[in-house]
Amino acid sequence: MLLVAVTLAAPGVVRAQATPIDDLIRLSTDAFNDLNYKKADSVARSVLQLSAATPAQRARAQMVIAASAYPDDPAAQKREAALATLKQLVKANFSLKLPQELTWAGLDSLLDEAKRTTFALQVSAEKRQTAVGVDGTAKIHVKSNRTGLFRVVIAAKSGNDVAVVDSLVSVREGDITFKVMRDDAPIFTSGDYSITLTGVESGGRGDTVTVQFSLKADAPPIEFMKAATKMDSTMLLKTRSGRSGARSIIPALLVGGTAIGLSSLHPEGNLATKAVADSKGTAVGSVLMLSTIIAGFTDHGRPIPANIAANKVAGEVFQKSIADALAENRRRITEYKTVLTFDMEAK
Amino acid sequence: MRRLFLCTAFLATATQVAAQVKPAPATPPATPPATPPATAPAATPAATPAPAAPAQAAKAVEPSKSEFRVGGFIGSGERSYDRANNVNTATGQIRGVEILLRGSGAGLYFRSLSGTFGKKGSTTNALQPTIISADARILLFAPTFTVFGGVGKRCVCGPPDKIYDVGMAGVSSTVNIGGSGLRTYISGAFLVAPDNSKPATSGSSSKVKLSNGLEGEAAVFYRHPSIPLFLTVGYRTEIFTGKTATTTLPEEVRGLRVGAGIQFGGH
Repeated sequence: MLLVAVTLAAPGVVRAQATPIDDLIRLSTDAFNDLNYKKADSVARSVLQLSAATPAQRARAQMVIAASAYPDDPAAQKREAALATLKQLVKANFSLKLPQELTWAGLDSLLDEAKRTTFALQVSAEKRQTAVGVDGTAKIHVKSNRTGLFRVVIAAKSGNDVAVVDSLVSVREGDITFKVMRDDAPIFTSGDYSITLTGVESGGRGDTVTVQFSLKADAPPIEFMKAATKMDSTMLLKTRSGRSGARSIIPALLVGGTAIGLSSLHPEGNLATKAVADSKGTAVGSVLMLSTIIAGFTDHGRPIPANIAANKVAGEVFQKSIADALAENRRRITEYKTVLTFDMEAK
Repeated sequence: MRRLFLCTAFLATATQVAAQVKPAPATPPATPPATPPATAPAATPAATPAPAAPAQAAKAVEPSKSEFRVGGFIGSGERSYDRANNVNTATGQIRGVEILLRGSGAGLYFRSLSGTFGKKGSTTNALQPTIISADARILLFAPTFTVFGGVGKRCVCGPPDKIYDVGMAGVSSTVNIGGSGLRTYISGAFLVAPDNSKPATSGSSSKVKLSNGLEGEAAVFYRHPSIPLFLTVGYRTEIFTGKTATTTLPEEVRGLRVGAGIQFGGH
């Protein structure tokens, strides 16, 4: 016994080989068959002490304990203890059947009684489920012997971040279906998750059953294309030529000066000496000069159609690059796969 | 002739300036990078697609070398003439229409105007003969430097009427002020008209006299880039010395000139 205990002290080794626990279960079963119920019970209970024991091994050990408490020898029967153990067993597996080597008619009747008087459920899920895209789902099947509320909580084993909370109300059997993406992002990250499914019986008694098992998620992060939010202005060409500005001064002086000069132009003879210059000429010349200078300095330059067209093309290319990036990201979202591997044996 | 020479030199200078005022080609920006600035981490496997590099910088749209313009104008000015050493001046109006049609290197220009000066019965602004003229010109070379020649008729409608067959030659320059829609315009022309009056006595062999004159104009034209209408304001002077075998009649007509019309091209 000490040797077995020492051997089981290293859980990693035990899980890898599993033989020692199975040996213990076999030892307890043999003791039961040898009618040594006390030893069978004792050895089976030692299995329950081991953290490395799987749910299946624990269930098997509990069966030995129940069988040892309710053998066909009336003197050795401890009905209430056996019934309590069987109730614990059927709570998480209401379709439980005892193996032939452990049961007899009386124990089967007691198992039926346990099933009748206990709120029991059975949880199952397809071992490997692949969900694709934002509408991709995974499901856990719940079956119960009574109507109840079933609530599932999936939380990361590291960090306890709750990924999924979902429930079924007032049913005896159904699928709890949950999406694996929310807001176009995966809910799961790659890693191990713990699933806790709690069933609450409807009605006055309100028995509660909790089942735990594990989930391994393979959900790599989505690598999105980065869409530029602002166009690089250095890519744009000038759409107008330089403004006229100071280059308008000389034409202004010429047109204004010409007008002023024309106002004092006379033919030869008396008109050249007697006629006076037209005063309007100076005013008009000044207006022409000023308007030309103002036009020159308020000028925004001439449009450059080729550059405008080139900029338009660049803008369209930019918009297309954004649209392409968004479309590619949408495609990556819709084709994103989350692979969930359920392990109903592991907590 | 001295004035004509000065006028021509003036226009030649303007033409040189016009060449400088021509809009410079846009400076192309620095060569765009082959890839856009990194907006995604280097680890991102699919980088943002690079927008295609725009075409190389191109020249600004040049003013259209073809132009069609039809407009009317009205001038407020004065006319003076010297008859028998007596200078007479009257104010009045000149109205007219003009049509311009030009291509890249040549064009046609037609103009008709009529001016009335003075008022009947006025002592300070005595009525003068009506001035009516019409001419057609052939334009050569680009708008920034145009040489033109043409013919026309000029009537100093008396009484008595005196009609001159006028030949003319000159230069003009039109300069666009960038993309503002404003253009400056200056022109000068020399006018000449042979005396075609009948001799006073049959068989007389008097020497043919040539009337001559100068015409100058300075104006700005404005046209909105998207509206084919133009407005113009300017100043115009015409001096003319009508000569016959026995008389010499110097006169000058000058004044403000405003106009409007339809214009296609030229900007």
